[in-house]
Amino acid sequence: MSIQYNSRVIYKGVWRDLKTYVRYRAFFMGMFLEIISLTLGFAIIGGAYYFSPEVLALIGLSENDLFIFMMTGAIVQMFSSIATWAPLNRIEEDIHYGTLEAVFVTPSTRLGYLLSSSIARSIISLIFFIPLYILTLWLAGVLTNLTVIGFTLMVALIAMISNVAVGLYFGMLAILYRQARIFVSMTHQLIQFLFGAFLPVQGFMVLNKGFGTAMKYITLAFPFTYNFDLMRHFIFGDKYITLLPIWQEFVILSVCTVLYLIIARVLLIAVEKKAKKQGLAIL
Amino acid sequence: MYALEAKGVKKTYKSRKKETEALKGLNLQVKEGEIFGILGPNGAGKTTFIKICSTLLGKTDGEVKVLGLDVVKEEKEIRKRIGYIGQDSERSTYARLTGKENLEFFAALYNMSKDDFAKQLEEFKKTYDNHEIFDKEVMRLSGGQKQAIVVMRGFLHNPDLVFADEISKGLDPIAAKKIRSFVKDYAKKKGKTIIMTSQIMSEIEELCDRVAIIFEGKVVAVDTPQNLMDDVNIQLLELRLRSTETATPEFLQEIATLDSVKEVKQENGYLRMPVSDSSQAFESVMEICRKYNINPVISYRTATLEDVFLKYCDKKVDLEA
Repeated sequence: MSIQYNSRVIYKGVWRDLKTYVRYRAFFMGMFLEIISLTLGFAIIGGAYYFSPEVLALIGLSENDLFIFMMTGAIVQMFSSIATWAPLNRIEEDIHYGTLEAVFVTPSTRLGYLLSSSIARSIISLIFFIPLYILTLWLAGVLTNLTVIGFTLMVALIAMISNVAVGLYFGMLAILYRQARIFVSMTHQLIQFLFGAFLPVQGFMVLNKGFGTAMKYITLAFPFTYNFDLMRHFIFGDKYITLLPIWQEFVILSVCTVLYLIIARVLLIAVEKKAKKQGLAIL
Repeated sequence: MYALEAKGVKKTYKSRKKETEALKGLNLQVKEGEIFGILGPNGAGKTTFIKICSTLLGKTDGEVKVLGLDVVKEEKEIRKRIGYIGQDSERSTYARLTGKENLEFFAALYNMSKDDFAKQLEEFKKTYDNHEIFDKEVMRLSGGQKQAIVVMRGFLHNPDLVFADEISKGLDPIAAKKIRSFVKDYAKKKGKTIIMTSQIMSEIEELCDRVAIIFEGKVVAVDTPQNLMDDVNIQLLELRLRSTETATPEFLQEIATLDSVKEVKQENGYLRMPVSDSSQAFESVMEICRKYNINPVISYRTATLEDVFLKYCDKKVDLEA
């Protein structure tokens, strides 16, 4: 199948989703309220949030940085969760409305079809991302620093791309099992707390050295960790101590992203075969 | 060449607890240009078979060729050339998009050019007179209108063969008639092959050139609707008594003793009697009616597709029930 055809499928998928979101006001209201409650929540918790001095020493931050620490987590989380949830939501919705069969009986690319949902959600999320992003930059005192802006936007984009494959895995689960959402939700919570969204990965070392070391190596195998770490590096500057040297984090993140996408592509073919054979969720 | 050729098709659904054999060696051939109907009770395997043919489901065994292409090895090529209208598809649209936008989206999935899509839309507008379905969001359309969009989607990319699984399920008679007339007009005009399932016998009778009856995963009869009906030797006289009239035991007894009447059944205000010689039975029954001062509404019918369906499927369905 030609690149032109695949691109057209992706474009039309984005077009469909954007039209749907624009006409669905409750969706916008829901997203808006989510962002407001997230920001207010962090503002409230930020004051009461406490990291032990040992943890702060490991990440190179002070107590005053904690609100921004969480905001950076929220920004990255926003993009990674879009990528994580969009294909799953797409498939669940298509199963619910019965459109999945109509799509799967066409010769179009399944990967492109699923990717289009992530892209559409990202575009919509930009509307809500920008105010949150500006607030974080302003609080960090880097609002006018173009280098920081450039790098942080790049990390946000990478965060999304690197999570697309994970989103595809979750989407595939939805093809096979109707109750995939429960598993995905649980995994997503784990990702938030284990990979550094709101708690620094370095902090596990303080809890227990053995556990901390194990966690460090586990988290280093997943792209989420680098997304959070790199975003904080560019927001806080050199005072923030990253898990690995920056260039290493970029290299591993790039390799992970490509590798995960290749695996997703292969898995998607296998999953469709399995679904066809057993007549599971989509059928 | 056949539009569809199925030989010994088997499908077994496996779960942890049990195995269900949905198709048990199904054989079928459908000619190009035919509108072909598949009848069968719930669970007979109609939908499973349609899904296998349209590449949505894998078979366990056997051989299926769609438009001369192997359903496993050449599924991508098949997908380009077939249309599919699934069961319960009334809702299978993007509710916030208009009818036209829904079709436009699928046109992209079929890689249709903009010109081809515009031409096809015009064709649809010529065949389906209610044009508001194209401009309104689908969520604001009635069930019949939504179904019209779904049916058009099945024909959108000008496929050579369309699989249609219960196209008028759940629709009121007017909406169902509109859908039927669209399918009939469009398919006949374009010379398309359609393989359709339905539980509505009149729909199959009206649309289909030939019919297969599937029962318990196998084809038990294939022929034209007329031949199938002719094969079931039923002549039935029906009397509907007026509200002021009563069928007394003497009246019933007298009718039952007629040589041309095989038996008399009283059902829902009707007297139904299979007869051997319709004209003789009619005369004799009318005479008895006059004798008892009864002036019924009387009708005569031969076998319908429903009788054919019952002949092949009723016995075991009853046992299962």
